[in-house]
Amino acid sequence: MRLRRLLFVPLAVTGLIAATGVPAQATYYSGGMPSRTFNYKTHGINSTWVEFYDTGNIRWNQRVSSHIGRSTSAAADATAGSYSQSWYGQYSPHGVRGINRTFSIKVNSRTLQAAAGSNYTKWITSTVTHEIGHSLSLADNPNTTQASLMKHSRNRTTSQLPTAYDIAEVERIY
Amino acid sequence: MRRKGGIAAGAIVFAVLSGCSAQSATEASKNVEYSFDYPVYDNAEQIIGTADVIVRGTALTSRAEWLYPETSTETDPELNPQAGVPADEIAQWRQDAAVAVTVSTLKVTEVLKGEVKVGEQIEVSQVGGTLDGVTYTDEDTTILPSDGSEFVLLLADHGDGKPFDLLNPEQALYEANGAEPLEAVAEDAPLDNETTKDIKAEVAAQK
Repeated sequence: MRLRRLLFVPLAVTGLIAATGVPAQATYYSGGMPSRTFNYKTHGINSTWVEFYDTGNIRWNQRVSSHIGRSTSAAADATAGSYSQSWYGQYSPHGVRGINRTFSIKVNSRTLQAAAGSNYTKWITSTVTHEIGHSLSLADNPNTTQASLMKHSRNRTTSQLPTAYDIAEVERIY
Repeated sequence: MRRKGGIAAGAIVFAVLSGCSAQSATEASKNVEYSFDYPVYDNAEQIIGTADVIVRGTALTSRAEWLYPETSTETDPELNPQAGVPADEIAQWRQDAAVAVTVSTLKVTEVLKGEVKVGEQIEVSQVGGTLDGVTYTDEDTTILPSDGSEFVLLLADHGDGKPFDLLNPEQALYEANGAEPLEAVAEDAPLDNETTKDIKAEVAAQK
């Protein structure tokens, strides 16, 4: 059994590199989009919240040469609402990367409001920008001592922008 | 935070499958992988202080259902993302924006904090579940098994008639085996190897 496992791991890593073109490092998230250029639509939210998403797009586009935009005809979607659970944000990929990949983002205004106090707006934009980071193939809680917007333990009041580490990871992946 | 057990090998397998062009779109459409951004607690004092309810208990049954976002009459567009959105659009949006959850009925065997009683049955909601032939999972969530296992849970109260939920899927769930120290379902959880006696002492100290 142990021998089989020893053989399987390097084979699996080789297969992953062949399939995706990127090494299987801890920060790579396979649920992201296959390129840095894509659109998504916002759904069921007012213009204030659409602006939060636009802010998130700009924060990435200005730093990693991405072209993330909004389009009402896009399959990927993003929204926000009041959910009776403790999470702040959610990302879920759909389809197969490179074939028909889309995604959904949800932000939980209820829990953010309760936890953030006077920093509510900053926590919203930190969460939105974090979730968009998943669409750029960044995983949660990267295994690094460097600062990262993708860490759940980040200070959501001050962690507003992709960090040098996040930018380098996007450049490496794409 | 790392899950206990052979997660690294599992992650490689998942990564290979996720990136593999041989995976059919049909197969992918039957499995949806959620990823959540949730609060993290620095230490035992913080997570105990934040919990509305801390109990020890056993899951009796569970069911999968959709968690729909709630609507509000709040007119501040920042506080209410649906303020100003037409009613017909909101109705469709609520259907589309639902999240799959598993709600477990838990029999309480010990109360460490909060307004519940021993013997009471409470509901605990966790993300993930199988609905309409699609399985939704969150890699950080351990769905409570209805097999007699006992757990200690640190819970948030979302109001009358609504299930509780864990403050954090990895830091707020611990296996409890008799008088043995608690065993977290993930590594580096703040109450790992603590006892219910320790938790009660901290609750008392925070009063």
